[in-house]
Amino acid sequence: MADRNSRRRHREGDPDRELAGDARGGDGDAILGAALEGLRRAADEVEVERSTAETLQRSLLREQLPDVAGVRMAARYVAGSSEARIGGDWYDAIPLRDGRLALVIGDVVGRGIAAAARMAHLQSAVRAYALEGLRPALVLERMNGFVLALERRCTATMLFALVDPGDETVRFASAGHPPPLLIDPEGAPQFGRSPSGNPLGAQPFPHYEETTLALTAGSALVLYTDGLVEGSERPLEAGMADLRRAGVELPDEPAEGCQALLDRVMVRTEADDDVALLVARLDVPAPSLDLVVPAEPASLMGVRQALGRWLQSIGTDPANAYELQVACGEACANAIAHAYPPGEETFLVRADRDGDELTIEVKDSGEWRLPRGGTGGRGLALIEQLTDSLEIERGTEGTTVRMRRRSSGARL
Amino acid sequence: MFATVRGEIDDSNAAELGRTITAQVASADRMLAVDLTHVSYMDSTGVELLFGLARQLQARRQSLIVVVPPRSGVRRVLELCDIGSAAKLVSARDDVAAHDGG
Repeated sequence: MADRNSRRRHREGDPDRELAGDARGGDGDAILGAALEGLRRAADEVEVERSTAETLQRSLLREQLPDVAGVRMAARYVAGSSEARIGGDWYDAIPLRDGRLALVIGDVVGRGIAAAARMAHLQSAVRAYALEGLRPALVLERMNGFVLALERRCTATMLFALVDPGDETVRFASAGHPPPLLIDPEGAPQFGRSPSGNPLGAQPFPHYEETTLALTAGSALVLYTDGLVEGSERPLEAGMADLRRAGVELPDEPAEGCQALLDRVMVRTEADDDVALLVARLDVPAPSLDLVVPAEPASLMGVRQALGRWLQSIGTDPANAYELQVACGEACANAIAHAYPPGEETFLVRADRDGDELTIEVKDSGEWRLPRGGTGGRGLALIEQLTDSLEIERGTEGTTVRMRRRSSGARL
Repeated sequence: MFATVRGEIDDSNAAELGRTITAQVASADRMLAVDLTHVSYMDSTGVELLFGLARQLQARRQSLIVVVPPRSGVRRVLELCDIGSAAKLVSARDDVAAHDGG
């Protein structure tokens, strides 16, 4: 057995040197002990590398994607089964200033920390090109150059898609990556076939072509890496067929959709690849918001959340949405204060749009009185400052507060 | 003394929030800084709460400072309600020290 001194040296020094030293001692047990120690350290290193790579990957691939008006998204990453577990698959969602959304799915060759690091480089580079407003084919061309210029040569496949909720289209280009799955509002799935250009880093002058398809409100878009559909136990065609079938009943909520796809399509065996998956669903903007609200202060939060969601679905930016929520909240607070008897009544909140002009109505069945504490005055003044017009209709049946404002915030 | 508020302030919780804050302010404190950095929603009830706090503090020769990020909706509401007449508005906690004792 190795003595305490040689064990200490093993932790600090070079395993080969330690082994040689012990061999000179001529003690068979010392060599065995040193070999075991060397193996254990190697296993520790793999474990450290694995958890470092996982930490790095987890911090780069968050499951929570950014909030984008009119689009709900979710994504998942599932590590591969081989020893280092982490591969180079990634996804990304980059909201652009003009309301369009860039979606990315990619697959870099490699495993472990090296692959995670390469993936991080590529993720950042794509973001930069996307934020420049470059169209998909140009993004891929730039990425090809970027990959070729990396210190360590590698190749990657990638799909870059631009979703335009306003136009209801998706425009994309592929660098050797599997096609996206589009699911229409009725639930019919179809792969978005496009000419597939060279993987990134394969050659200096690649050619990428774009395809534009309809992506109407209520549709879903699924981006994935080949680990989902290809494996040792199942050929690619069969996997694609499974994916298409799973698309037929895809749940509306993207997070549930991701889980359903993993459950129904992914097949895991010992040697399998990692999987990255992103599901995006285009919201159908609700024509109007109609709420019946219990007349109590606890209801206020629910109203502003429902209003916030509706405003987001029609493309209102957060700053304007906040002001509209405050204006509505003030009117609601007053309706609650009018309720008699307190807590037993309900009041109505309705929000509507006509082009750019929004109308929010709060209708109660009480009388408009100056609410207790004189706070109503401040609330009323605030509504006036936050809206383009304010009408208060007082009748025997109740009071209606009607507020109008441009959703863009531009003052009339 | 700092009072850090998180979440949303509306008619359902403003009164209790006010009582909680008031109970913590000692007569020896020169000022109270209410930190609204992590408040995601506030309307006139929250503003009324702050005006009320300012009045109480003033009676004891104490000042009110409100911390709220520059381009937030909460800030806009505060400015529309002219909170500046009752309290000092600053953008970050670090800015409070400069106004301490004022």
